[in-house]
Amino acid sequence: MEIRAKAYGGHRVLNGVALGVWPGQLVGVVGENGAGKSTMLKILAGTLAADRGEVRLGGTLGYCPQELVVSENLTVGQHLAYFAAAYRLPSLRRADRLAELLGFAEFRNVIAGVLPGGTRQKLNLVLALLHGPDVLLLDEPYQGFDWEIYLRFWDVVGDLRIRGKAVVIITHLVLEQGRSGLLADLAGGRLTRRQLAKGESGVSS
Amino acid sequence: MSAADLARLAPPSPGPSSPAFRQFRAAWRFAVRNQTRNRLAGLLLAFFVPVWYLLMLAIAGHQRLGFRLYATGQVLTVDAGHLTLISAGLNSLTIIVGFAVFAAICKTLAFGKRLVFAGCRQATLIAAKTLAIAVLAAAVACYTAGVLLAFWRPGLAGWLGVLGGFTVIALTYGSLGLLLGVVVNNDVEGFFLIIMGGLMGTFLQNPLGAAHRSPALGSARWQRRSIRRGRRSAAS
Repeated sequence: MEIRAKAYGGHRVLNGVALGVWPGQLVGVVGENGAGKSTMLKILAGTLAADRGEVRLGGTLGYCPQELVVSENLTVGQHLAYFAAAYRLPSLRRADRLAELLGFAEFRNVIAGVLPGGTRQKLNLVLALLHGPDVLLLDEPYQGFDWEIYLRFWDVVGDLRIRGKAVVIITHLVLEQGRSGLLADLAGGRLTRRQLAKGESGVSS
Repeated sequence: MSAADLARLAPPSPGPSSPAFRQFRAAWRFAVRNQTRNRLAGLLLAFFVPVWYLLMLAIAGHQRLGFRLYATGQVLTVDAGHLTLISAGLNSLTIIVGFAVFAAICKTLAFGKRLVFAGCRQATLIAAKTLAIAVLAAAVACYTAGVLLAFWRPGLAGWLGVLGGFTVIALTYGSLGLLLGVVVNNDVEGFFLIIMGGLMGTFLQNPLGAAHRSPALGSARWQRRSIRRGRRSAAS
């Protein structure tokens, strides 16, 4: 991905960002509030257009936005069925398993509008994971998770990496920064490498 | 989490090669559920419609009123109470259907985009939602025409005519709600436009509201004078 420029009004948020993510790689993106992390991920996901630049994707994509994008009037089960149809999945087996692992299977028949905030966030996340995407983009996906579920979330991410999936995650928790194979710092509209692990490369300014 | 748990998380293989019908069925079912879970619209249907009929009829009376129908040039004489009831039904439908569809579309716009992003065909999603809106608008029109029978029994042909008119206006304002739900971001702006559009649509062309106005504004207008003149000439 290379984003040469993205501006809102006269304010240039991204100003020359280049990032390459490869199968099995986990990239953590950190930066202050308003640095443009979510904007960068939206451009990567294809839900927002860059003013200049390009994104090249190999394989399927899963995107978990920071804001909750669920339907308040549909139950958890209906969400899973709806997205399984959208992803053209033959069954709901993986969806059910993810709901069990992230601890919200018992809310299957509850409409999203009355779910606790953390459970809604779990649903928001699972909708991006249902099809086992080759590239997974996560924008602070664990808000409201309790500790055990938070650890399970990282187990799921680890499992995806083992299966050769690439993961880009926006985070601002110092705790998580050690989990990333590659850590990139977004500041002043530019992405710079903060730490390089195991000789991996791919971030340049 | 055990290794066995993770093993069962293996990414699924793609499903049937022709998923359009499955996507349409899911989109249609959930669009209907989304619409029918609007409690405020349900309450408006259950209570507002009969109360509105009752109130409008109470202030209307049953005097005979005449107006010229510009489509045919004929002067029609009708019961003011019946005309008021039809206007009340039209008025209820513009607000309830317009509001219900606008609210449903507005709230699910981002969700719909996410579904399209996930692989749901845009045309399939739009077709399913449009069909759901059409069916619900027709059902609400049937209900409103049915409640009308508690206040007025116009005969089968007359009732079917009223039902047809109610269905057309429900579909029209359902479409307006759909359009506004897509192009207007703010709830208040959308509701204001629906209410103002409903008022203009139901009153400018209404014999009750178009009296002494330019014919260009409506298809009919009061012709009390011409009727009186007609009566005088008939008497002489």
